[in-house]
Amino acid sequence: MFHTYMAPTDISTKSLQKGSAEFLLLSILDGPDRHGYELAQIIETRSGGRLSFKAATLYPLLYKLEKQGWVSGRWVEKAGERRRRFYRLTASGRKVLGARRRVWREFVDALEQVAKIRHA
Amino acid sequence: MTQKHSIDWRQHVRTKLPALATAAEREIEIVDELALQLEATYERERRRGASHLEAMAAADAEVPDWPAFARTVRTIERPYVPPPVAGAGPGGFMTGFMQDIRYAVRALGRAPGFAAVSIVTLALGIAATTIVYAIVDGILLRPLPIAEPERVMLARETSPAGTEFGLSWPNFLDWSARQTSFETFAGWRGLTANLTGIERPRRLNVRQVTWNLLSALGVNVAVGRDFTAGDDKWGVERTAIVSHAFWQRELGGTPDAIGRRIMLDEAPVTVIGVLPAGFTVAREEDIFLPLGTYLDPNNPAIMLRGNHSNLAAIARLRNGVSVEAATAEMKSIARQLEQEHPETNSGNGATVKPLFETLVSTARPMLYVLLGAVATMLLIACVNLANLMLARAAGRTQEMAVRRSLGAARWRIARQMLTESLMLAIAGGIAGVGLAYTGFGAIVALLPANQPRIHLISVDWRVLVAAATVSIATGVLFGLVPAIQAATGRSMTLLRSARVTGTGHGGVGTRRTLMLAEVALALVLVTGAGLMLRTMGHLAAIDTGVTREQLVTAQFNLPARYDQTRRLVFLDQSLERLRAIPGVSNAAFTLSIPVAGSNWNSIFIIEGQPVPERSKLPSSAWIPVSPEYFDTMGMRLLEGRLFDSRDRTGAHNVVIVNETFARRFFGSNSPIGTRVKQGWPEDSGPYTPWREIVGVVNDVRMNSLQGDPTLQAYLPVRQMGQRSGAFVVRASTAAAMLGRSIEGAVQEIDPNLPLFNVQTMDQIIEAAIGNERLTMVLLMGFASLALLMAAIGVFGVTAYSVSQRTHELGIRMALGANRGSVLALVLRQEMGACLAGIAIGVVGAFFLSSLLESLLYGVTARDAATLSIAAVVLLMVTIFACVIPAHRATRVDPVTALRLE
Repeated sequence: MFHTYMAPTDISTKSLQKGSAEFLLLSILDGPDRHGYELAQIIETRSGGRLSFKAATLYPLLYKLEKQGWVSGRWVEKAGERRRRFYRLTASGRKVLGARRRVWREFVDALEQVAKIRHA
Repeated sequence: MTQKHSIDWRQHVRTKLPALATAAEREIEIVDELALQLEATYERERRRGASHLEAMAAADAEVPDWPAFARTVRTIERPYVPPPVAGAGPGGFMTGFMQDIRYAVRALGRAPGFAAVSIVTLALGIAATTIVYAIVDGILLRPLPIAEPERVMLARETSPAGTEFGLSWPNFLDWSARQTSFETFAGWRGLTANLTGIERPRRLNVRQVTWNLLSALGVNVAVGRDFTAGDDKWGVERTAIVSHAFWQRELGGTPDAIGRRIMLDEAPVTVIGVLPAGFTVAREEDIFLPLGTYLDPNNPAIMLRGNHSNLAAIARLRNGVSVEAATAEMKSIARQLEQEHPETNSGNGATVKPLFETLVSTARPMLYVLLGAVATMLLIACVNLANLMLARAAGRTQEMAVRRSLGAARWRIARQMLTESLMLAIAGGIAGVGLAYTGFGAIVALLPANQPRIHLISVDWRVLVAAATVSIATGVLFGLVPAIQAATGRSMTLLRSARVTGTGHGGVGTRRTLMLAEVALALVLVTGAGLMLRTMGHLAAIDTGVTREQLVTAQFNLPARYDQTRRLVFLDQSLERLRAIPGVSNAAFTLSIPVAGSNWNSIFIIEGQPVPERSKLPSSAWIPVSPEYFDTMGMRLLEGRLFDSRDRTGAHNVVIVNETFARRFFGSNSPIGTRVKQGWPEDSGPYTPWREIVGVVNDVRMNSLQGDPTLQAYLPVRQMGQRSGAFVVRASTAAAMLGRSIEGAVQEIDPNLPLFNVQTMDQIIEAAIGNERLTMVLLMGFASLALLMAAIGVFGVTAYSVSQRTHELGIRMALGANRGSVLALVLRQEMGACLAGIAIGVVGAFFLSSLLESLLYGVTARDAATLSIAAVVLLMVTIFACVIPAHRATRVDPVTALRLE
């Protein structure tokens, strides 16, 4: 049973990268609202500095997710600060995230079965 | 030691980021987000101890390849076009156009006050234009529904005094036989006739015409047949061609109506044809009848060459013959007839005019004035809106600057501004047409009812097309200046300066010029309205010579079965019934109603005075009346006596003359006892006896309110019985409600006799000054609106200029200037422009008001008093509009004003 969001045949290297980046952003946004710089910081911190999202990667991705209606951004202004754009997961984004999680789980399981990556 | 570096990260991103070709707002968002990210990275690196340059490098590493980044963002953003790209998007002409419209709607939605003021101003302007255009279109512009109307002429005789009058029948026949200029030479005269044999007798408009009239007009009947020469003879069965409307209403609109008999003036008439639908010349004709069937050869009066009825020749010019050539020919025929028949034709000439011209000539000056006035008002509305748009554009400098900086083409921004103006104009146009529909009836009702072609006035597609054209034209007109300014503004530099001070480009200069124009135009309108107001004042103050209040008039026309005896019995019985109506204090008969016009004019001679040559014989109105007439009308006896029961058939013939008559021919002597005789000096016989003057009464305005009083001679109706005439009924209360009772009373005597033109004296007087009244009402309306708009304009410009100078005024006050001097400073500057506007307006009004000349009464077009008052009114209004915002300037707190910097 494959979900339409990501048919297994789509899992090329490129789509893997792209898919994973989207997946990461969606996952982080499944919590408090975050602004762009925060998102980059969290990814970098949680990956122990191994994954780093530059602005050139981060923003086009966010814009695309927003365009697809999976996340939504809003401007928040605080006294004495410049306005920041906070992003949050939309209802349809949450659905997509659920589906992506299943697919990734299946994918990782399959890799595990075939390549025994965890015991290598 | 770390050096403090202040970096404008937004500016940094802007310089690096190529144009994204996306909505301006979106682009700003993206710039802001990237700027934040770069700044955060920079700050983080600095905190970690990096140098300024190292930190900058780290920040720049966030986006290593700006063009690639822009390309990526563009592919993501591009499919998503809205929010509309105002002036920056790619896309075809129509795409951009739709975007402009959407954007304009949103932009106007954000400024509801501005939009409302603009739409209301435009709606009023366009409503006025639509109504005036509808009137002009109905009366002046619609072609006559006849073939080649420019070739159809109306010819009449002229009197020695130069006034036009109808042809006598013998002269008509001679003109027709001798002329060579016309291919068809026909005649007509307008009358009314009673339609009986139906439920309620009706008075109809009829025209007695020669058989070839329709071919002269170039019109074919829609049903049935045209007249033939055989129909146009005394003694043959009387036939009729009826209007389409009459056919529909009275004859069921079916082809079998042909051959039907109707009763006109109690004589049978056979319908032989129906005119085409929509065929009208001067009025909604009901019935055409062959003239020949009314010319009884046994009646000597018909063949009298000096008996001028209201017959006019309607003739179609031959191809290639000019109006001038035809006129010359008719004049030469008139000269021939003058030599052949000096006893009747001395001094008589001929006039030939295009038929159309004769129908529209009285209304034309008024209509031109109204068109000019409404155009002026619309122009003021445009100027006012251009000013509002400029003010708004000043407030939107930043928005425009952002667009320009983001690559919007100048023409796209101009188009955007124009789109907004057009949207306003279209909304105003729709509201205006709605208003016009609502107010249309009330305005048209102000026109005199006898205005030819009045029935053609309607708000139809022609008028709607005109209204739409005017709306769009105004939109372009008032949108153009702001659009040009918006398009020529600079971009990035303004972006910053605009934020700080809020100044727009264009400055106050353009706006002050527009304000000046507005004041000048308003002054022209106010002067025009003032002149009309004074004219109406003079007209209303004219003594008509009768007591106009509570007086009802009702006309009638007795059929042939009434002989002289029966006519007098009918009069006696009717007047008795009329006086018995509750609320009626007196009633009388007259042939002619004051102001409505004399129905009988005739030359005369005076006993014992030299007889002038034939062409110089004096002419007076002759008015048979019943004895109670003078009392009923509230006239004054100045000398001698009024008519009484002595003055009957067979008794000594008497006449009462008016004051002007007495003074002209008798000076300070008394005319009482002198005899006068109508007709040519040699005429003798029962119709032109010598009559003795027994009384002198006051002058009455007979033909119109204006002009010198005419000669008037009253005859006892018992000595000069009449078939037609009018009852005048004096009421003690509510005359207007009496119409039905009067008709009822007369129909008790003769149920088949319809009364017509049942109206109060007030209504008759109103109708006589209808053109002037309509002009005044509309000019007053236009002038009030113009004043209001000029006030708004002056207020707006002053308020704007004060807001621009808050800082300067603050400094002045901080340096010790008192409020009075600040007020004076502001007023001096703004009132300078207003005074210049007033000066230009005075000059304009001086020249333009001469266009009103023909409508004025008792005041000259260049009346200094009116012009001065108008100038003072404008001065007061502009001072008022200036003082309010100027006063605000004096409230400026120097500290606040300075802090703004």
